[in-house]
Amino acid sequence: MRGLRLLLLGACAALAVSAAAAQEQEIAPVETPQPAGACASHDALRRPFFGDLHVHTRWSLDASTQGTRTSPADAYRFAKGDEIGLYPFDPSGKPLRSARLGRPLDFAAVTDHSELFGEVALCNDPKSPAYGDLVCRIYRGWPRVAFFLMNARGVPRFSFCGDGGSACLTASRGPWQEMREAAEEARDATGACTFTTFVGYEWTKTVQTASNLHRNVIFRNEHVPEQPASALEALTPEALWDALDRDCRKGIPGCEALVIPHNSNLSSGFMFAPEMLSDGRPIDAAHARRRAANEPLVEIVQHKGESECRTGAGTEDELCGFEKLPYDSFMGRFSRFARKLPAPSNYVRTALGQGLVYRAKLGANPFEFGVIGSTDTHIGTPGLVLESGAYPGHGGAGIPIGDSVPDSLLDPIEYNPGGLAVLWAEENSRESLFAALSRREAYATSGPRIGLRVFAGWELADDLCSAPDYAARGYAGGVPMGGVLPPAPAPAEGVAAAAAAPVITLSALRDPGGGGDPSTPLQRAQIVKLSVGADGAAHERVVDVAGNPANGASVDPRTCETSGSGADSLCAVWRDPEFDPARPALYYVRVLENPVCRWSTRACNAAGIDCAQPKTVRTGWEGCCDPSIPKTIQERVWSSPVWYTPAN
Amino acid sequence: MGRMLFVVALIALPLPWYLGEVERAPWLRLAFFTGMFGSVLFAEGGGGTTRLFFGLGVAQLILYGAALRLAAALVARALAGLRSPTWRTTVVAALAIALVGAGFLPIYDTPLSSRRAHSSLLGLFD
Repeated sequence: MRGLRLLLLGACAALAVSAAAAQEQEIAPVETPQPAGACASHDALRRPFFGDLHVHTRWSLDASTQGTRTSPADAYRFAKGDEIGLYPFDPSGKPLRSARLGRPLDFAAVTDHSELFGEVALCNDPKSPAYGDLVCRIYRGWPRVAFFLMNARGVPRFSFCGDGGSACLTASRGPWQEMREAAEEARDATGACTFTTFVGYEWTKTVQTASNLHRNVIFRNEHVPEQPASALEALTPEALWDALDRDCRKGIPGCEALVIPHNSNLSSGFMFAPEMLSDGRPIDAAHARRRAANEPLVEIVQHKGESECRTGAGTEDELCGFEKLPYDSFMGRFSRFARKLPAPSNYVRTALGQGLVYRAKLGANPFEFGVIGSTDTHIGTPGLVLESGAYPGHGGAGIPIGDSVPDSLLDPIEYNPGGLAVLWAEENSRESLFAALSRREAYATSGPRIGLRVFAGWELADDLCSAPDYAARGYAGGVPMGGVLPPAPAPAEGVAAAAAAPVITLSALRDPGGGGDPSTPLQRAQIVKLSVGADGAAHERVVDVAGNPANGASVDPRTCETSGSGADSLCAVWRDPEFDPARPALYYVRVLENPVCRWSTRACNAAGIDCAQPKTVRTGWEGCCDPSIPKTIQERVWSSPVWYTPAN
Repeated sequence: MGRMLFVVALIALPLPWYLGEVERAPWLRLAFFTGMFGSVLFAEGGGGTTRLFFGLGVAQLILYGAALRLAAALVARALAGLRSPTWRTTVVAALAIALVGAGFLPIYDTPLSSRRAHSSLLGLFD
């Protein structure tokens, strides 16, 4: 026993001999292939563009520790329709799996975790003095251990990073440079405008029990800071905004950025809990305006769950059970003892309602945000969102897959393939798409490429759905999704003021499918109204305005065969019958498809798992028989809201 | 005999323990990873997860070490009831060989492994 102890201590001591060192790197300026010109295809009434603004590659520590070797350039190639290889790799480095999109994306952004760029670069560089450091040896030899060790390290950085982390901060410019160059090289800067990229990164702050405050930063163009802000230096969201002000908006001509929070479902309620600021002061109007200006969008759906709402958590909306994680922080992922169902404050709908309350109290709304979806893929596969097909798993915070494809589910069963961001823009260029992000003319899809238009106005015609110029009349007579209703027109003489009520119109088109992707009929369209009641609290109302929830559509989970009818398109013009002009309100649209099999059901069926026959339930497939995991889902889209603010 | 059974159990008996992931692997593997966290903790300082995992590892090492020592002593005492020393040696040897032999099959759940989710004694430190 004593000998064993000595052996272990000796081995550890030998590993512990390390030296911190700095590595200076030459950073070349990013070349822009050519200035972005006007696109040949330009539509003043705007078109929907589908993309993914949340993509991790080998430069994210958690992706690299699970075996991802996909580079930013590979990720963009994938988004444009090329096939790429995926881990595991054979001894010669040949990937044992591959993936390809059925339909290319219109835009994408690689958003690797900025915190440990330098550490990952140094630990992988045999020429670096840090290469032999104990932590780097653990990173390469036992990456899953390194995941826990390095991800949750915080400050100060490891000693191999040198004084003040200088060596790692300097080294972080290498990956950042690669990301910038990949974005410039992948985008179509010709007049064809087939594909757009954005430079971006993820600011990865967690608080308390691994509660998530993560945010993606998306830059408008190639004018970006020399170094991304990280949660190891910019410790709070306010500090991140400060860094963007200092290093981008005020520091570099032409630089502009926006911040997109995600996974509020894993935030233990902290993402939308601004009653107190990070320094303990109560929220004020200036802070509310600053937050809304910096964070015009929220990612409502992605690989690690959906964040709209949860049935039973402040709402009885039965359709809030979609892709819910059974825990409210990352700690719940790693320990069943730390599992707690998310409270209402984790969800976007609650925040949107609370924003209205702040608007009434402070005169400013910190949560005046629109919504997008994305994947949060950690294998560098933007837009890989299909439930069907051989879904390889996105691997978020995943276990290293090893040196062969295991006979098991390839993702935690509570995860999902993620969603897409859809932007209404005049053309597929950075300027046009970034403008759409900024004005929140955006919506989220859980995967399918459903088309969705929403307008709100005071005098939109009841026959708008049959109008051939729907969009033109929508823009002329109202505001699109993400907008703020102008003040109500003065009532005509003899008409009571209360008669004026906003009209919401939506038009949804079924995903046409193609390229091997399925096309599922639409089932129903809903309007979700949030408003401040007489009690000063937020109240919700969900109204079916088109389609038929009882259309008889169903799916057999054993075969995944669908049956029943649905709609190719849905359209509605709805006037709010309970509108109170004295109270703030907002409206957003949710459109659902008919049910289909969930990805896990397909994987379990393909593996021959039959829960009635326990012998078929092999190790690694136990989740197939977990009754809390739905067998079927209803894919959907969510629009950004339209807000109404009383004149006074 | 008790000491021999104890050492064999430390090396080969699968035990459920937790260090971020739940493994079912021998005490020795737990000691290896706890040593890793301890080395980083002592070399780098800091706290948070490193300190937590090191503390978790040490606590489980002590708990399982004591339990295995006790179990080995109880087995040895039971075997002492056998009159023939040959029989006693044979039974202990059979137990040890069975345990170590089984350990050469991928009977351990090792999600902390860099290579495979199920390992044998040959991959104990992967």
